[in-house]
Amino acid sequence: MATTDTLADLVARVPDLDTGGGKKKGRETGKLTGPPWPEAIRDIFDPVLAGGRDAIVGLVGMLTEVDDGRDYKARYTLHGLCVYVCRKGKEKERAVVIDALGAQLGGSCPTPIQEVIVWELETVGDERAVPALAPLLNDPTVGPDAVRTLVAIRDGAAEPIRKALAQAKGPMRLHLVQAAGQLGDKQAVPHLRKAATAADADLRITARWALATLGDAWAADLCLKGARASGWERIKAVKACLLLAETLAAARDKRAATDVYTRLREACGADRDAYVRDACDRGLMELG
Amino acid sequence: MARSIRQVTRRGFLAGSAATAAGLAVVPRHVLGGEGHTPPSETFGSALIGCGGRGPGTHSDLSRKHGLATRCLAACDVHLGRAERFQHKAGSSCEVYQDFRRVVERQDIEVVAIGTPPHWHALISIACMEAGKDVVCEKPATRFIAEGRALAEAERRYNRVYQVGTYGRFGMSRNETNRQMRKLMLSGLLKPCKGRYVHRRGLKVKQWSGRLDVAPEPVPEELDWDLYCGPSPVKPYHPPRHGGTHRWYWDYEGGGLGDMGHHKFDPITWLFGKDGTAPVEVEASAPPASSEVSGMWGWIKLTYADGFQIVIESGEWGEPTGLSSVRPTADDLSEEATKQLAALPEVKECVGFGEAVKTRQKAGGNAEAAHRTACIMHLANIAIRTGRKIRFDPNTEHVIGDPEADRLAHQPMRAPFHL
Repeated sequence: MATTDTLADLVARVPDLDTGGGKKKGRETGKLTGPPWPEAIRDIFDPVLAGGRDAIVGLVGMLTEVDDGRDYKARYTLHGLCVYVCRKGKEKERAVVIDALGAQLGGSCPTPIQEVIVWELETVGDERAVPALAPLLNDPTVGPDAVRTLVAIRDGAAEPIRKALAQAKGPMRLHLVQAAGQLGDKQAVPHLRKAATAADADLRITARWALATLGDAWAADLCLKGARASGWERIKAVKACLLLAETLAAARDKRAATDVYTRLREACGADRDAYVRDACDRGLMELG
Repeated sequence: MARSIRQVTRRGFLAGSAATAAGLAVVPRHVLGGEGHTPPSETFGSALIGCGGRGPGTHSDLSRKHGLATRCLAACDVHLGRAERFQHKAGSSCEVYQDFRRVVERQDIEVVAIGTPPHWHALISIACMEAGKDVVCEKPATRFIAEGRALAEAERRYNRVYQVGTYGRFGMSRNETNRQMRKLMLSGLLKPCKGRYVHRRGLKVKQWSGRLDVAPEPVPEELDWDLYCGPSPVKPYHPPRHGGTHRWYWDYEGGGLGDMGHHKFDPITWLFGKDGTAPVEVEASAPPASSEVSGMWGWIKLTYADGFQIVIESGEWGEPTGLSSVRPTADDLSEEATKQLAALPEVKECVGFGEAVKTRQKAGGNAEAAHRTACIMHLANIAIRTGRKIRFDPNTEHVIGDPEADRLAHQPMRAPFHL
């Protein structure tokens, strides 16, 4: 950051919002036409990055808790920086941004500001952001977004999610179960098996889907039991059976895949289930 | 070249599809639908999920455009007022729902029209196919690339009929010259292909870029805001997030490009045989994007593996590319390649949704084709949002060498919603 420019001066260089008028009248009021990338880098992003960690922390300090547009220049600058430092050659600057953002999480930072930081870490974060995100995983307000960001980051995310899942109660358990499935974390299987018999239907459905995508043959009985139920859970249990069979087939466990297809076919004998039986038949045919 | 590509009007399409429908024999569904279907009803139980905006039109198109006799059994919207308004038009057999899962459970509903915002398109389409239903879904088919693969997988796994709500490819396929072009491009004999399609304007870039000066308000009583947000993060309720202006927000769509792009490029992917693959390189000219809303851009260049290019110019920002369209031609083929081309099977007209439902064929705008067209807009928006040139593998459907950009192609969803 040049000595003559304060952070506020740099952020103020983001163009003002359109005021409307012209042929479109008021329809274009409040919209932003940003500067071209080379100008944004020269006039805003590089000078802010030159201010190091303090400048990033200062930028976060300019965010308002209520997203009513007053802080749009700071939000635009922060997001632009997060995108910019993901370029090749900007690795050092990226590390500074991740460190500065991660350090704002938890503590006394207001929840709406933490949410913005978590969303930005979905853009810029990598495994260096994981330690800052992990403590949020049992927070019912910021937690779902922290889970989302960790799933997006992937590298290093499975372990903290698994650990949080082992402790989780309430709504966060559902988010963590889904994340374990999305990350393909086989070490989470014991927790997923437990969740697959939970009283909460969404949790059961999601855990069975996760086990099916992981190819856990243990889940076959549970999924097939669900396929004999009714309603939404049945539809999702049938899907879990088919996914499980496909995963087992891909892993060359022909016997287990054949078993799932055959039993699902038997469980779906009604007229309305002809399409499920057809799906099983196609699966069996592909198995040879 | 652009002039030679016949633009199909809605009226023109209706005339064509009505003629197709009139030519179809009425065949009992226990014969057509395979073993297990109850005979013989020509009236389909239908539902509309997403009753605002284009939703009612999409449902009425089931009969008007697709020639299906329907009895509307369900109107579903996260905004109850919208569902009730549609119910009044649909008649006494139609019940109102706020949660699409309750509609999907109903076994008497066979065909579903989906008119929700795009962040729900793939999930609801997939759920309907999982429940054995056929689907017409408004464009764009998806909000990001991984959704499209899951959609195509569901269509394949359950062998259901899916049609995205844009129909330019149907008119395109009725023209013999266009069918010959598709045949040439699908043959892969043009190596490298020097063809280029340049599209200028008409993508409502400024109109559907987002406002940044909107303050949050209390959620209206009739709206289930949590369910509206669904797989996307729950954000404060800014009124434009719900309604037609949902197009502004990355959480729900992809601006004018994401929305109008499906209309503009679906006929093009059909014509040039690119509805079974995706671009391998994408570059955009645009200012840094907002984290929340779509904004301005100038041009996008998308290059396919064979060298064919699609160039899109907004005409609303920055300098034009100066490029013009180049029509691929069989004149460039060797004598041997010309013989090989002649030996290939002829390209057929696209099958309409109504015919596909009755005869269990793939519809022209099937999930794979819709997904591949949607990839154009998604990849373009990834290039715009990252400010980086994107390399993409059409087989694995991952961005190559840029994991941060790949996050936009494979976005996590909020539980309990997953692909």
